[in-house]
Amino acid sequence: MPAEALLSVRDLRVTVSGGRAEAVRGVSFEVAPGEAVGLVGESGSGKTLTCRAVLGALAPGCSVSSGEIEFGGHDLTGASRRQWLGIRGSRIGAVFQDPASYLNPSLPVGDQLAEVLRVKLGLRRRAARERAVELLGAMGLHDPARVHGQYPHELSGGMLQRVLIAVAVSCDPELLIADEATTALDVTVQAEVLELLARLRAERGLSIVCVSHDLAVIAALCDRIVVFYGGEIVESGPAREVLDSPAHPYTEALLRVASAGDWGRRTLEVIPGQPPPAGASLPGCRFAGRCSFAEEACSAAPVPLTAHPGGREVRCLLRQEPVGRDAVGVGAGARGSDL
Amino acid sequence: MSGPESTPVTGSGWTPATAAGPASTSATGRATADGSAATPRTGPAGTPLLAVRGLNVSLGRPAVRILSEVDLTVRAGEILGIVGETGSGKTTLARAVVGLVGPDSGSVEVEGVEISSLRGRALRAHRRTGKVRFVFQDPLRSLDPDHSVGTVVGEGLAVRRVPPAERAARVRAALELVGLDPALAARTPGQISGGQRQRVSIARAIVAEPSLLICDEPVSALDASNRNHILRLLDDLRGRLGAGVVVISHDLSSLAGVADRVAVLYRGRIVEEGPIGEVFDDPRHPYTALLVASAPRVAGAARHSLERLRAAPTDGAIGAVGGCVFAHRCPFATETCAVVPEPVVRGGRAVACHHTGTWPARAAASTPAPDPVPVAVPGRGSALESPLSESPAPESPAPGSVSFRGSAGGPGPAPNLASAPVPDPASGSVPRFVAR
Repeated sequence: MPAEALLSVRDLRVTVSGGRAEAVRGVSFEVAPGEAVGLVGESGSGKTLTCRAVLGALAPGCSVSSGEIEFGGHDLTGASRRQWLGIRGSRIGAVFQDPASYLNPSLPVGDQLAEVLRVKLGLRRRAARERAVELLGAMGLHDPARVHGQYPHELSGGMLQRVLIAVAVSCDPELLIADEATTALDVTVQAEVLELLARLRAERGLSIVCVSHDLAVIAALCDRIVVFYGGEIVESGPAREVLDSPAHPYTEALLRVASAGDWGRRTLEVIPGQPPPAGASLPGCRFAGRCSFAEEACSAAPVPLTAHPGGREVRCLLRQEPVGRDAVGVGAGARGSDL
Repeated sequence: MSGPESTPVTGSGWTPATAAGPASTSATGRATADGSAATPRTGPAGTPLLAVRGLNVSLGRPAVRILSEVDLTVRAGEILGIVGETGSGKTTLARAVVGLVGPDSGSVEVEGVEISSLRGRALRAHRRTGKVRFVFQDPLRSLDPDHSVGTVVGEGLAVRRVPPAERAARVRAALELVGLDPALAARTPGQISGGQRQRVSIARAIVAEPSLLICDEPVSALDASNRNHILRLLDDLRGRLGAGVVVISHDLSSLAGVADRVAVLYRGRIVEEGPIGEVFDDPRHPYTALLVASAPRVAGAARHSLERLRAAPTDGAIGAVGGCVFAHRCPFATETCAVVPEPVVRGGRAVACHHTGTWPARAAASTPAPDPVPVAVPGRGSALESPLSESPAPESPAPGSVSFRGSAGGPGPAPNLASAPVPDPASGSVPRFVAR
């Protein structure tokens, strides 16, 4: 990992329901300039809360109880409201799942984009409009001048998401957070939006934190994968290596239920059981209850996140030996079993 | 799949007992190899469970044609998948099949009974038989939040005046069949998880032992594990109940795991139909190929390169009136495509494309394009500090014929497509900007 990370999150803990439950439990990861990192996990695993904390936009009742978020050399955990205004939207952009709910339905989308440019960059009305049309065109929207004057209800979901990506990158941010940004889109549109994100990254050196429950989406976009389970990181490492040789049983299970690109008739795999409720206090591994390899020791004491060569980290008692492309995955022998 | 004058084709005689393996799904297609004079294969009941012929549906005012000349057949014990993007008419098709939407013309027969002309008392009587059941997309909105799960599931039985004791027993059995704890019957939909809610929807649909189950996006709100759970459940139920199942889904890979056949819908027309493995492995319609190549996958590459399957973007705003519905997005479209292609049936598969014999070669022609799913991008930091204003998206030659679009205005809204250049997101994949 390069020495100077753009974003570095250290031992982040986020509590929900007014501090009663700890939903993010000591999460640490870094994002280098130009890197795309994918956060993957089931709903409730803490990936979205982590992103919201990085954006300083936690919902009421949620708060960062401890840990550090360092972005571009500044500590964001103690940032004032004014400091956040200079960072959020300007240096960190964000796109979320449901584009329609982030736009004002009674204003043309172009005006909403131009407003950001005027407020954040201080552009004059005419310049902001020109820049907005230019940005919409750069997002791959057909006839940007017409789109500029259209209302959200006149645009399809894919077009709205492109408008929101235009808003997110309008101030030339260093980091873009894409939280389930393609989940609600048709597959053909999803492929186009993923390509747009990849292109923006290549053109502008944008770092991306991509959140999804779909490993296939992460695989398409990201260099590194961070797997969340029950508020903790259970595995992280270079995307291709994690996908080729998952070291944690949960990652392995996620891969088996993912869209395999296999068109044959087959038995669809499932992960039995439910994840622990947010804030549940379990003495040991949080996945142990659903893991077919679990031993007694797994549930006895907290399992540390162990670093392995090649930038990989695994939180599993059964994976203390080095992991890597050549090592045999934990679940490899049990493929097809009902893990 | 074929026009109204010809016989519906497709399909496989399906025996629930031997409900496994792709072989059984394709075995019977050859009987209709030339698309002529074919009699529909009969299922166990003698007639297909569901036969939709030449269905046309319009909605709204002024009326907008949503479905055109749709033909479908579903047999007992068979799962038919329907795929297509937003606005392609999938939901309208499902609603027309259960009689929630009236067709302009065409017929919908369930077990030989024409239901699209039923009105009033007859329609109510048909509904109360519980032969056809519908599973809605969003369980949170289709389950009454004030009623307990038990009441919701048993409502259909209550309407039919099933005595309470029997009703409770059948509700319990239905909940067990979908893998839920019967104790959940006392809870309200708000107190259970999303995956459980979707199962409650399915339990409600199967409590009266329907012969036909229509599921509109039953898994789109669920994560991968729960999605597979529900699809497996449907697969299991068609075996146990011998029911025919129609599943609308956008997750091609999971659907391929359970469905026998698939119909690909685009702007209200079925463009391709056949055994699901064959259709996705070797698509014969450019739209199917585009769908398959767009589906994200963890490993492996698509048969066709995504870039070669895309034409200039129009975001669906252009109407292709009177021609092939896909022509406006098809890189292989020519003047011929101004006429609606008749579905051609060969080897159990139906395809509505004028160029079905030639486009795969054109898609594969010349050098293979980069992998459509770039995984590791080496371009990190390559273009730091290049504001968008200085790097507009490059204009790329749209693959395929542009002349057609210029001349195909016809009676429809004349698109300014021919006035390209437009930035083409298809050309914007990473390798283009990094490697060259």
